Amino acid sequence: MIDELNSKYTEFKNVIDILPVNTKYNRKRKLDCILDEEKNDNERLSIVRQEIENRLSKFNNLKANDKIEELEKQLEKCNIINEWNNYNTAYEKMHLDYYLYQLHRYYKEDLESVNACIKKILDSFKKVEIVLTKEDFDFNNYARDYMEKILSNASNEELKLCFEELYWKNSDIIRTIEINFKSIYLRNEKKINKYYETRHLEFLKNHKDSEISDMRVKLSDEIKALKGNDIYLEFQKFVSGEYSVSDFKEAEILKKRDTYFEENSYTYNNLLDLNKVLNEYNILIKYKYLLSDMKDKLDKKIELKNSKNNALKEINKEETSLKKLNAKRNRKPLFGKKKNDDKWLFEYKKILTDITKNYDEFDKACFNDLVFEKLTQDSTIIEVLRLISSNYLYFVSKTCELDENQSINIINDNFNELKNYVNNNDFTLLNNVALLDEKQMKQLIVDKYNLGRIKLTIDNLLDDNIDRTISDINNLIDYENIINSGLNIDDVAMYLDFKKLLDKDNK
Amino acid sequence: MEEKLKEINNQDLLQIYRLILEHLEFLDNEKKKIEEEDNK
Repeated sequence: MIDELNSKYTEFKNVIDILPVNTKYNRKRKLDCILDEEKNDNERLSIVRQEIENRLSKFNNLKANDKIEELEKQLEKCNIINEWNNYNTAYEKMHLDYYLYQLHRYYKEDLESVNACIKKILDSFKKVEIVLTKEDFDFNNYARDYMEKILSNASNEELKLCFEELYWKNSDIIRTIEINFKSIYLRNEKKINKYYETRHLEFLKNHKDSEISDMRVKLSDEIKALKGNDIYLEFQKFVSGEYSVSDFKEAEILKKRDTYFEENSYTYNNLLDLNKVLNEYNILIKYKYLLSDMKDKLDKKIELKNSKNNALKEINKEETSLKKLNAKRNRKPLFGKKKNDDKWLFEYKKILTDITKNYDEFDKACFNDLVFEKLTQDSTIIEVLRLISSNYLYFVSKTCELDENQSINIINDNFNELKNYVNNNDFTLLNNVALLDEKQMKQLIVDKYNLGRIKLTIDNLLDDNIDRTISDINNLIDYENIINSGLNIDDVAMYLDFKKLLDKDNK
Repeated sequence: MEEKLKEINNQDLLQIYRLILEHLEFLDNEKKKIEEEDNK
């Protein structure tokens, strides 16, 4: 058919070529001939387009599986289990660790984010039945006035004006509010703990804790199974660019298969099993700096224990000084002039800096106490990672120590990724290996898989190669998922080519 | 033509589509040449 069309077009071009254009009449004749051919060609084009659309329609009719979305919603409900996570104090359950860290970070950058953050903290207190008023912000009058404005639901513009006015009188408003929130939490800690305890007991009247964790595992497995061979999802990965047709060339796939698997050992289950262990090993490498810091902490247990009370004593002392200083400033002098503003500000800033430092020490001491209460040298790596992933402040501070240029958004993503990962219950390595055993890990993994005739080498697990190894195995799993979903890669390639051409033509 | 198209493979269908587009472009250029002659 291509040849037929080609010769038809060549013939037409030859005829057109010899048609004279010397007179108006001749040009009109030639033009009529071209218009005639154009009409025919447009008809031809529309027939071919229709055939292309017909071939694309089988893909356009693919629909998302509603069951997956429904299961994902149910899985999200299981997050209630985080409320009675043993590794969290009420401070983390209220997300104060996260919000106060953000507040501390934003205070010099962006007032709207600061206000949004403060409102979220107020909501967190409200959720645990503590409704804050301006009277709770008693460290200084400027911070109290600003909180009064926020509590009155003023617009961003009004807040901006109010902040500008107060800022020139005391530039430490936000830092004061931050410390004030920490102090309010400590004053109400017992009440907040009681709130979570009551909620948990209420839940236990009709359910068991294990019900939720079992449900979470069951739902995750179901979702994984449905997603694994869902033709719509697999197809969408090509459309969105997550997959590329060139990643699934048969020769490349076979080469990778032969690199890692001996004959008959290549099965879907072996692929999944290897992938799981490689990912667990990768987590171990990625968070080596945190695991080794936890080891250090456990080694220095005697030295680090019980520093919480000292920090708390200092905090109480400094908070009293702060309040006294504020009261003194507001008192009308009996004789003479009011105390010099500069001197007052100097004293205020000094106490605020000391108190901030002591709150940091207090947070660290609380975390250390939690580590000593929950972990020992024999704890498994998954137990250690679960504790780490329950404490945002620790994760952020250690990650920033390692690389101070890392963006907070990436750190947040990594934290959430780790949290989700360790909430999974299906582990092979991490729940069997103790914190101290990790050195022999590479050999242990290689030996296990070599026994199963899988050709994994120590080299594959080296820090520089592990990403490549995981990516190869993921590529093989993706390939198997595509095949199992019933999607034909040649058809997908055709779809993408047609789509590109039609989109270009439509522009 | 419809029946014939159903028989051919994806690659050939794409090539036919491209050929027609090219020919339409050729026709368009020819029309412009005549128009230019008319305006001289």
